Amino acid sequence: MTKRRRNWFAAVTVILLIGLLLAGCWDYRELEKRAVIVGIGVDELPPLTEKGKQLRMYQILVQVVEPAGAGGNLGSSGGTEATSRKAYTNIVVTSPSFANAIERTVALSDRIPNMAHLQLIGVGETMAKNGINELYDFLTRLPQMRRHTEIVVLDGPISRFFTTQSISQPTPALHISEMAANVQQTLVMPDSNLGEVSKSVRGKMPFILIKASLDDSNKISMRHAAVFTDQKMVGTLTTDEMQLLSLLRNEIERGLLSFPCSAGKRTSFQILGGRSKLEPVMKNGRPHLTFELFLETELIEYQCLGASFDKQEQIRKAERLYGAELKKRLITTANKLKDKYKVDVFRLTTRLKNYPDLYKAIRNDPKTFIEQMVVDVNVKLRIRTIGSSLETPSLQEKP
Amino acid sequence: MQGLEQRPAISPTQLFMLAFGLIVGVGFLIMPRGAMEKAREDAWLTVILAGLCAILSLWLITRVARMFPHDTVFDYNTKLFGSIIGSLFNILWGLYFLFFTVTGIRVMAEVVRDEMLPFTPVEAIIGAMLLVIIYPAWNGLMPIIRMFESGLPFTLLLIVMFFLLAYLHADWAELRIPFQEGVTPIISALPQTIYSYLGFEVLFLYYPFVTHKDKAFASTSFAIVAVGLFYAFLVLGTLVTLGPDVTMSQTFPVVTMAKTIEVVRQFVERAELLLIILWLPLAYTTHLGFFFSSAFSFHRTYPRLKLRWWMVILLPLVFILSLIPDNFIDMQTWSDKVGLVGLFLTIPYPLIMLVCIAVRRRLGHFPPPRKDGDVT
Amino acid sequence: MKFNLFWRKSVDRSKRFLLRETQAVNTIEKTPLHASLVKNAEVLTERLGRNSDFAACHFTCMNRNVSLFFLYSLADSDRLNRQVIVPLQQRAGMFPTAVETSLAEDEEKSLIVFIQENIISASDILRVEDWQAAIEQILHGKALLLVEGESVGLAVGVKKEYSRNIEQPETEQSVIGPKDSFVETLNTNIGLVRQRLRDPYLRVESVVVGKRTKQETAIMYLADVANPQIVEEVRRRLSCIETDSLIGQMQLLEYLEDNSFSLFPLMRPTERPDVTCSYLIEGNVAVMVEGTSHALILPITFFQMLETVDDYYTSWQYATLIRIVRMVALFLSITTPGLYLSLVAYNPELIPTRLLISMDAARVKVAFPFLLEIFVMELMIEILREAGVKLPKPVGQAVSIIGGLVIGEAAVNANLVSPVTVVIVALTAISSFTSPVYYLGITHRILRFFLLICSSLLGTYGFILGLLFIHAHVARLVSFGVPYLAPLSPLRLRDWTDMLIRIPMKKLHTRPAFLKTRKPKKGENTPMMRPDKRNT
Repeated sequence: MTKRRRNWFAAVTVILLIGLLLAGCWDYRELEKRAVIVGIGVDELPPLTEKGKQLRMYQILVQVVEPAGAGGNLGSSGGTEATSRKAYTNIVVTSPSFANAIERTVALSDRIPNMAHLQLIGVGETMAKNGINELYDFLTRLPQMRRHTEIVVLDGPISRFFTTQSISQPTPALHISEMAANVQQTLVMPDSNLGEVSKSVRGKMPFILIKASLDDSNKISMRHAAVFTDQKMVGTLTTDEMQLLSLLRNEIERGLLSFPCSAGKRTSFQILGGRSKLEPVMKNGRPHLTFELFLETELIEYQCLGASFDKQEQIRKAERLYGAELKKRLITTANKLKDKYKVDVFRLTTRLKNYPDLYKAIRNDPKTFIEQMVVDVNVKLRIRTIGSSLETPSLQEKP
Repeated sequence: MQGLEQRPAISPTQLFMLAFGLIVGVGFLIMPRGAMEKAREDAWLTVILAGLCAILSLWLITRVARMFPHDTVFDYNTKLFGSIIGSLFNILWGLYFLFFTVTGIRVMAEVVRDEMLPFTPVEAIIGAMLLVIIYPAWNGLMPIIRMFESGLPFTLLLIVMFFLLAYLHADWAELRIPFQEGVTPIISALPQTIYSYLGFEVLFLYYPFVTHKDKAFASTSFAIVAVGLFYAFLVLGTLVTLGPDVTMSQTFPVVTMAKTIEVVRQFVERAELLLIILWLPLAYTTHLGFFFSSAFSFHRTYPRLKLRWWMVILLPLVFILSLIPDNFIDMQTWSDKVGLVGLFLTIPYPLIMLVCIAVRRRLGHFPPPRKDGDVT
Repeated sequence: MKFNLFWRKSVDRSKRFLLRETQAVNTIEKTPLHASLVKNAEVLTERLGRNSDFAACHFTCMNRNVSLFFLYSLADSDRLNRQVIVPLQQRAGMFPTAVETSLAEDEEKSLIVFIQENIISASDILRVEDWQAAIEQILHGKALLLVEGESVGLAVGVKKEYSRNIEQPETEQSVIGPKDSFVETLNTNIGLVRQRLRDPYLRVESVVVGKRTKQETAIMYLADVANPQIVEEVRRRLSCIETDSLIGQMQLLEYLEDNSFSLFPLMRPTERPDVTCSYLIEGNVAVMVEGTSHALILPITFFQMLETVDDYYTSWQYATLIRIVRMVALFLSITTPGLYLSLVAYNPELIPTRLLISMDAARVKVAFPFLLEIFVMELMIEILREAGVKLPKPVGQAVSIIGGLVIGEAAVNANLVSPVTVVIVALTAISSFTSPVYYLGITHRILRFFLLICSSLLGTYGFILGLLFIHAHVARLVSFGVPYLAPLSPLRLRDWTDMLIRIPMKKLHTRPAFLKTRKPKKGENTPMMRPDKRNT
């Protein structure tokens, strides 16, 4: 190559590289300039009439982490000031559009919002009853969203939820989301995150979300679940109902089953594991669904006196007794839910895929299917461990 | 500018990696959507079937290439079809590779801009990628082959392990016994899925450089089998984690599948960024291979202009062309057209060539056919 | 397999080498010596006489004038006396015996030959017939013997070698293995290698390089194992070097390299004779220059640079695991600052939430942007390192501790940097010390800044592109016909047994395939006695 040509090429390459270097850093943002949003609470206000059309007005509460308060005990000698600063800021915006609301938080704080660390989405009851489809669309369209953000229905004023104190977590939103995560694992509550909601919405199935409520001393408890059909809340389930429903839905995790043993005393079993299979059959034009439930449990508490479990027959007797009790309860609950909601809360739509005629029936006309469905349950309860003591105190030692 | 290295030599392992890297590129992020639109739960069967079709087409290509062991396709295009139609086909090859690169780069830039760098203009993303593409291509085919061979196994291992994490949240009830709705949905989803397998037709170009030509078909078909397994793994993954309804509604289903990954609570918030980080080398290898093939084909058609000059001309052309479509959906129409051309070049085109060879052999232009045991 | 298929050099580069002629290193003309001693003495005095260490001795031998010219600083006067002057003066000068006298009178033989064969008792005698050789030999340390009436001189080797004692190696320390290293004198180095490798096929060839320094360069290889094409290429490149002097092995490396724009060294310098020997047995070629204490091993691949000596002196399990740790450490040393910057500034989503909150809290007080912080810290580390090299040993340790701990702690407390940055930079610095070859450590330091710039421009995307760029660069490199990324590409699983992991030495039977040696299996010998046409 001649020298002139080489020089020309070198000059062009250098100019290109300099161009790349001089521009750039469009996305560079200092960490303290990012507002890390950890929780969103949405509630509905009375609608606004604009140009003859009714707009749904939302009140959105955005919880942003204040790093100086949250992690203030790190790295410097500011230990005394840390406790007096709050670890979070709540910004409340009213707007019919969610994107607009998030944008407006920029005007109210000095940082750019970043939704990627969102842990909790709290939905107020009013809004839940009216439908969450707008919220759902906003949330699933944003690329920054993850699919395991918890969605919880909040029963009560939202601002009170987002100001509860917690010892272990810096902000209330993290606290609530941690509680929801724990509850999902231990109390046989449904998986209530954005991914589940998305799957159910696209599959036109109902979904169940955790419902949190506040008692008088500002403590949060999650003992109920809300049933949503067509993205609207239609009812509430108690813990027992939810537990039994999860057993039918094959979402068996750790939980507690409690039965009366005699004279008002209770015995409790902890669920170790199990599975629930479906045996559907079409008889006389009506679907007959038999749930084969197999549970492995551990005896936790036995309050009746005079019982001992050192022989196999006794264990078997207990298994049969409480299995029958459980079966009764399951059938009652199933029928009750079926009649009350008339939608597929049992997650049948996905499980019937291998039975083509039933699958077609439930796909085409879910309401009739559920109405005509006959539910039967066979329970096999197994007590795997009885704990450290073989027998309870005898009857003579009644206190 | 002088010429490049002496004659490149591709060993069978390198050919395997080359084929795999070229095929697995940008398409697999979108592929489950196309497959599930028609076939729903049986989409993974479609994928495997498409792989078999790709192997069939590869067999045709190998049969043609074996007749001319020392020529690239550009040389025997003119020999078979005459100079006018032959050079038209050559230009078609060049443009096909060029537009494949263009669509691939644009889709990759869109994905990167969507997920990772929302405020960066697409020009910067594409420009940076182009700089990194031309750097190894400047020295010819061998650095490209070495990059494929050294970078791909590790990246692939990491990606497979990453997707296995998504399987932790799988709901296996979504699976269905296949063929419940008949074979028609599976077959009707086939054309869309075969687009994802395009890439092995570079065997036409690089066949003379392969060292063990009798193993060429075996190694490339192993590559297609590996690709098929990988794609089936992905489609199965989207099926069990997201379900067919959600998959059909997402722009990038595989990225959405990555969004469901949560190993330790609050540890890595957006796992799909990890996916994109792991996927960028795969996309890069595809763009690199196709860009070089494009420059190579133009160089072989018009040998007066050296290969490096062709690369310098094509690079700004790729940049300008990739910025023409307005958005991602517009780009999809382009890539559909490119896929059609690719389908033509992989299935009917070798058949035409075989027919032409038979005709010419009967007319006495060519020597009699070789026996199967002949190794060149 | 033909050798030609794998000879991958770019055509223009080999053309550039081919076009070069063998460089002449001599600037003195090749005129013959005069017959008259006086005239010769005149010429010598004119050329070299103004040096204060130039000496001339005159005496008589067999009734003829004999002169001895040498340089004080180079000639060993004791040996000169013993081997040259005393025999000349005594036996041929003052007390000739009858036999010698008669022999001397023999007209057929010249006196010079007589002196050479009978009188001088040195082993290293060369006949000199022209001025070029004469002056060269004097400058090499030999003593030039001229006789009246003869136009041929004798150069007697009485060189005094200034050489260091054999000490421990500086850069390639071994905890458990032998601890000798090369010195600056070529003969000693060759001796150290020959002591370990007593094979008749070990060949040492010499090429003189450097117009003004006329340094002797030795090419060492095993003649029945090494690839003859590589040896020929080395020979050719050495004789084409056009320079005044070869100051260090880096300069030699640059001249012999295929591509000197690369940051990666394409030959491995080593200070240890045992390393040289094992590479020679594998089939590599070693080049040594007088005046440097390193031998250059070529051809070399990227993974061979990640081997240390101790890998072979410890058990194979430990060696394999430590190799993996070393590779991870080297990767971390390049990527950590860039990755940190791109994660924190561009994609904080990849950081766990609680960690993010604490990092945020720590950073609220710091006024500088991230990029500046990391850049300045890295620069401080480089300055500390540079300063530490020049400090005398007792002070060096204290300063490094002070510099690291105190300044770092004080900077954090003054809110100039955040603590996480200090941790990251310290981790990077420590990881970079695991590099086995010094030049590779330098490369890593430069690449770290490159990746930092890339990730500051385009975030994680830029970081990945930077890594791909480095990968592309390494894939392009070819070291004497061997691709730099072998045995990863071209894939030869058999070679992995020694490069990436280390299997027990009992099972190491084969030589690396990418060297294309003549004997791929170890343990075979070529019998030397049969006339063997392959040994050129």
